[in-house]
Amino acid sequence: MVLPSDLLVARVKGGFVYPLYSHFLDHELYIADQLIDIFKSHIGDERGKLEREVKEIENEAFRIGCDYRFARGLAHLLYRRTKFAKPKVRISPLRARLEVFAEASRRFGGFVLNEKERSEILKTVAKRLGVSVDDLVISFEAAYEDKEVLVSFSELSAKELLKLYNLSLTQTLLFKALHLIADVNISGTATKILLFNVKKLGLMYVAERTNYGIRLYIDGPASALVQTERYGTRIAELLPHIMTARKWKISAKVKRRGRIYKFYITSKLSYLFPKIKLRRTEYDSTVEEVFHKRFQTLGSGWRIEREPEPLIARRSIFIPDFAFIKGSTKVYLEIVGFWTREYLERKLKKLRELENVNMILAVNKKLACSKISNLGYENIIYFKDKLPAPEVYIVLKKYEKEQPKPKAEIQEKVNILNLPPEVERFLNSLRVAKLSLIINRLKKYGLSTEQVIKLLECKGFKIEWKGISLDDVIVRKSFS
Amino acid sequence: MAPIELIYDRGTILLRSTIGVEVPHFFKFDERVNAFRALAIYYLDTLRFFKEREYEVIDHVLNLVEGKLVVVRKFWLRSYQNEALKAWLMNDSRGVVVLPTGSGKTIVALAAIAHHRCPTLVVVPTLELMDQWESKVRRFFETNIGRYGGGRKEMGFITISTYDSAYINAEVLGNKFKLIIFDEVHHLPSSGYRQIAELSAAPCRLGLTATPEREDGLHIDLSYLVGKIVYRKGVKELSGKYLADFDVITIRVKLKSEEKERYRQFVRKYRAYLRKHGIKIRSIKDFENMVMRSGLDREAREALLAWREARRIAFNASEKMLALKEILSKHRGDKVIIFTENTDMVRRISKELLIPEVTYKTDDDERRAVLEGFRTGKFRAIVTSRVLEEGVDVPDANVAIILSGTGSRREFIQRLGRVLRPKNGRAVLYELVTASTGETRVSRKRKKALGENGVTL
Repeated sequence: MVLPSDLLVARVKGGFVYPLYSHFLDHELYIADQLIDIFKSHIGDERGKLEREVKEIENEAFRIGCDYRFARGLAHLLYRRTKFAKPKVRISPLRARLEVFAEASRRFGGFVLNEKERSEILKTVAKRLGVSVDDLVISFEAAYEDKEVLVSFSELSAKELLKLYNLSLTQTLLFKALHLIADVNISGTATKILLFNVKKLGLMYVAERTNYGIRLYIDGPASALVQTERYGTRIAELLPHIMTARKWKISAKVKRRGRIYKFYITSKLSYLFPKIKLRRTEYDSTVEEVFHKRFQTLGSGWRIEREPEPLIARRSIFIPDFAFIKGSTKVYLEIVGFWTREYLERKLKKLRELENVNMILAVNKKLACSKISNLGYENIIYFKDKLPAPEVYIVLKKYEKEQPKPKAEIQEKVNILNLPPEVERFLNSLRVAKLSLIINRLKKYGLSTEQVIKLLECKGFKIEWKGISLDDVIVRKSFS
Repeated sequence: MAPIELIYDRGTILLRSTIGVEVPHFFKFDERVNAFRALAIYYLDTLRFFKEREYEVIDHVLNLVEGKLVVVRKFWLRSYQNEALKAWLMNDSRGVVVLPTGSGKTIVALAAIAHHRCPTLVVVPTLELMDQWESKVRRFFETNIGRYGGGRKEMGFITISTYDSAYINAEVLGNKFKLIIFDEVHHLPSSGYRQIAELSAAPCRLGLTATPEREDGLHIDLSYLVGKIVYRKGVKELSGKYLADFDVITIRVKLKSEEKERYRQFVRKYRAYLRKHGIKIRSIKDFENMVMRSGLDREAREALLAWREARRIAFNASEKMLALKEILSKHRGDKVIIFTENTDMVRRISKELLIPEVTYKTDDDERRAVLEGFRTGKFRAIVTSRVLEEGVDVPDANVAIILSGTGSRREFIQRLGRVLRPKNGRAVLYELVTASTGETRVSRKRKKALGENGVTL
């Protein structure tokens, strides 16, 4: 939450800017408590009354040595936790007012100039609307903001308020940021959520691996061309996401009253800020979970690992969702969310820079922002709702070639199957066919895709992987 | 050689396949993406550059809003409006048209849209102007209209946006339109808003204003952002024939003796503080510094409060209310607009004199009803703070009363413009100034604007 810029209390020294954070001192806690009490005790009262009392606390804060902008900043945050409602009145304020104004124009040519004329208008209109003059005046004035009624206030403790205030101060400062450098030490998923937010906010990043963890240089497209605070609002929005890291360091250049200052802060001060939890809500991981389960039941001989460490290629970052391990071979899989053709092309270009890394991309067709075209990368799997484990297995098999096949394992799996005679007959007559066709034929016997593939392997069929769609896979009887 | 590809990326243009190609100077190499990048405003220059050198270009920049536009009503342009349109078309459909408030700038812009019949973005300063533009577009065209601002985000063949929304959404809007119109274009050169123009690839640009000049001097950037001034006419050249003649009457109001005493007391206190600390207030920045100091410094805060109080007394002298009533008594039945800087004063006048108020706090339904009622004559007076300052049509008003205001020249002319709508008879503008206070200086300053625009009193 951001404060109005005139409430940003900060000191500048030697080219640096320091927001004046609350350190939960007694008098600060006292002012925070007072303000919270006022909001609590005025539920049901008029806004005007609440505002007058809040102003009083601002003066008191000033008297005991607080910056009045501090008290005003706290009040600002508290107002954001309230709900006001229009007062309940006999007739709608809009109707009352328009009637009164129109009558004054009709009767006196635009306005009343003395008390006599005024009461004449009010009486006429009250009579017409069938209410008393007092009720009319109440309805007339109900349009004013200070007549609104405080209906709810979301409570918090004084210390929570001060922590919120500290966060808001920082965000208000970053509102005018030209760029931001964040050093974070976080898990793969947390990185993914952070970068998801970087992209969602229309920002750009360059990543670098450091001893600390990952360093992200964050700004926007136009930052390369002009010095601009344009992305400051979004950088401020990103701040809480960065603070979810175990350890973080932030440095930024911010503009303040026409000059540029440096700003620096680390997680050593995180006790000053609210505890921010990783927000997974906007990040739906069901696709990953379902896939993880299905792959494990596949019995592929590959060990699957969730959220492996991020990979850095030159200046960009890959956060694979899974790693598949077999012997000394490691293959990564990244699931791509919203994408455009250009995005995929860029991604692939970056992928080619990752030397000695085996990467499969799984692309959700439903999240396409442009048409799919041939991208000339063999390890792409397109899927709709569920990422099919067998198709991933098909790709993984390419990396198996060098290794001895663990035949015993497969043999064992298939022995469990009790095959109906129709299936046996079908398989015996089969010479060559598309895999997709076989899967379709055997579906009615309750065989899943995975089981069909296993079965074919056991029966000595050769499976030729010409591409990654099941339509591109040819099954051939081998007579060796 | 491979053709050069131009790609739009969130307000900028990226160049691809540039190995061995000469790149225009406004492109910079962006290491983040390994490509040359430029602000979208250079789109046309980029195309021209490569055309001159006969490079093959694949252009993916514009991704125009789909739709069509049918002109359903004939345009009748006055001779100067026609001249303005021609001058703009002759300048490759770029540039600024300067015409006085009330002379029908909007119709020039609508004629420009009718000429090009292309996806157009119209940028306006207020929600009020958005409404007004929408109804005008509906009158002349059959097309789908989009709105950005006031909580809405809809793209249309003609899209109307506030400056704020256009700034925030510049990345998205930047390649969707061929023509971009800036109403009240003097707002554009400020450090934020200018990005609406910089991040846009729209090849055709039109700016409209009565007063392009800015006190910060940034109006020189208009020719880069929109194009040069292609046509300019002042109040003097059009008044009489197209605009109402008008009188300006200054009324001096005296402070009551107890008000005078309090005023002097506050001014003394404020000045004493400045003297003691050797502070000179020469600019807004000096003043801001003092405000900053008042955060913790009791003396500074008290001096500042004294200054505010003195100003409040001068601007809201109780005699002003009397003087206002006296003026109003001569104008029963006329169409009157009262301007005052102070929102409390607006409320007081509205409540006491039963005049509808229009401020930023007025709710939308009421504001629309009041303005509509004022147009039709159902309401004959309005009291307002700053909302009606700019370009909002309030036809037929023939009396304006300035109760208090800042020294801003633009504000003054715009307020004057409210009563300068073409009509029969003369218009009157009153201003109330509190004698022997700082307000007289403020009044002198704003009236300088009259001289500049060639108005004789």
